[in-house]
Amino acid sequence: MKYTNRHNVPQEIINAINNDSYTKGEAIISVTGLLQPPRIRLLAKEHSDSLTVDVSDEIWKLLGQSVHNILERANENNKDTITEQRMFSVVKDWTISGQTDSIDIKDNILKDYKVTSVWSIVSAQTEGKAEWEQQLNLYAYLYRKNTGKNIDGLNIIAIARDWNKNQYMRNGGNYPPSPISVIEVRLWTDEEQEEFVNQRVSIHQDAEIGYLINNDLPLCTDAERWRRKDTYRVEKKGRKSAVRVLDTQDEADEFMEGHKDKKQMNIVFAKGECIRCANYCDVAQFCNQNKEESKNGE
Amino acid sequence: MANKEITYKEVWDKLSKIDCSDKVEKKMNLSYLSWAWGWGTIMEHYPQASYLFYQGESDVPYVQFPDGTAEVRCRIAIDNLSREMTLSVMDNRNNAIQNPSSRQVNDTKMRCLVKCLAMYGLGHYIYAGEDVPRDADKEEKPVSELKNVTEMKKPVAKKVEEPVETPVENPTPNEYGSEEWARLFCESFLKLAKLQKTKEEMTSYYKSNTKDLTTLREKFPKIKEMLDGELKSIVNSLKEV
Repeated sequence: MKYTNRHNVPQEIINAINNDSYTKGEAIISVTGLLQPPRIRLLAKEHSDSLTVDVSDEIWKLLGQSVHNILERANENNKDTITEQRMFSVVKDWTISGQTDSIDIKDNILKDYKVTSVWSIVSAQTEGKAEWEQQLNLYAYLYRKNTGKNIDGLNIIAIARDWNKNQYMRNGGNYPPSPISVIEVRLWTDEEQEEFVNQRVSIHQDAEIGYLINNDLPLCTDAERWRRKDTYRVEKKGRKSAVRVLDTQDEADEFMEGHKDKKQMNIVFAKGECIRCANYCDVAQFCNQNKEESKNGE
Repeated sequence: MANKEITYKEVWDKLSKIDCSDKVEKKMNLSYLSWAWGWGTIMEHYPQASYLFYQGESDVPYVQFPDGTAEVRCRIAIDNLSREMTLSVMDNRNNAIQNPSSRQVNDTKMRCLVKCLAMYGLGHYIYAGEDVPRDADKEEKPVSELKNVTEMKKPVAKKVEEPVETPVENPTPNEYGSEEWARLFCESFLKLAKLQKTKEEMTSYYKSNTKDLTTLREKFPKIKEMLDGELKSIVNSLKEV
């Protein structure tokens, strides 16, 4: 991976970013890798030497690491907590590994720390977040395989990097009352965990073989691409923002029909953008799915 | 002077002493000996060996019985020597399958090849239910070590049938995963890769070697990358066919 420094980030910060000690250990794939779409994982592996990321984009990751390091240091001698434990298991001949942030021995709860946005926390609390649920259940699976014991609960300890007291006072509602939130995550049954881990390993194994032999990568799904739904924007002449944004043409027609300014209005279809491909995927430039769909105006 | 003809005894003495415990692959509750490794080993000792599968008149490579079940037949020749073996096309519970698919027949053919190799001695001790080849454990070992090995294996008496349950733990793990093993594995893997005719066959072949390929990748990632590179060239030549 190559870094650029478009925003003149100070050298000491760059040094810290370069000093990332993360390793998946002696494993074929990590929990993070297993949860990645195979297309992204394989393209990243193939183009690792030519991937370019700006150091400013790595700041949140650095902040996340610092929280982990401080927690690990603070709990080094705490007998009731196990921190940063790397665990391994063999699934379908592949060694998989994962590192838990913290395991509360007394309450038997596995915890993962996330430094994230308020928006992510609200969204996870209201709608749930599949990636977090999958990740923590994979850790619970590894814990069971390594210790023979089951975990009783899963928690995300979410630290909101953009929490603001005024916003909380103003918004109330779902806005978290504190910059730190504990989110309970559903613990799957042993069978669900087994099925999921086997399925993910198979997906990655098949993708690797398919890429090697047929030069073919599985397509990322809409969910993996974080695709937003298509919308119908009711727009009015002379106004920049849409009057209403609706899910279907019928809803938009109905809204416009009953509006007093309907003669000045029109409906514009907006194709749902793939947020990950557009803004967050490091390998988008090498991805023929992304190129193809951009070409087709998606 | 004419070359001396090899004998069944010589071949048996050589092949039956080879330890293949760590080449056993686990699938479901059964264990299989890797055919890629088996054939690679024969090639190492008898590169002139050849094999032949029965080919029926209706183009199917098996003999079908009145109840619809089938058996494949294989012959392996080494110079003047010839051994034959048969194997029913079975599911993982050892029940014969009626009207088997091409995939099931192909899998059985390779198992039959392995079984036929055992008739020359290679891996025979596994079929006989023993955990190490005769003579392989002649070397004196401390009692405690022997005890551990015994505890690990828990051998069970077995019939000479295919597929067979076998002890999986390797009694002499120092060889498997070594650099020499990696070299031999790559050599035999690529040799057999060249025999695959379609990408589908190649995919199935690659998958059937997952365990060894994973070991290679974990221990010698650079060699694995080179192997994949070579394999890609072979696959590219498949396209031209």
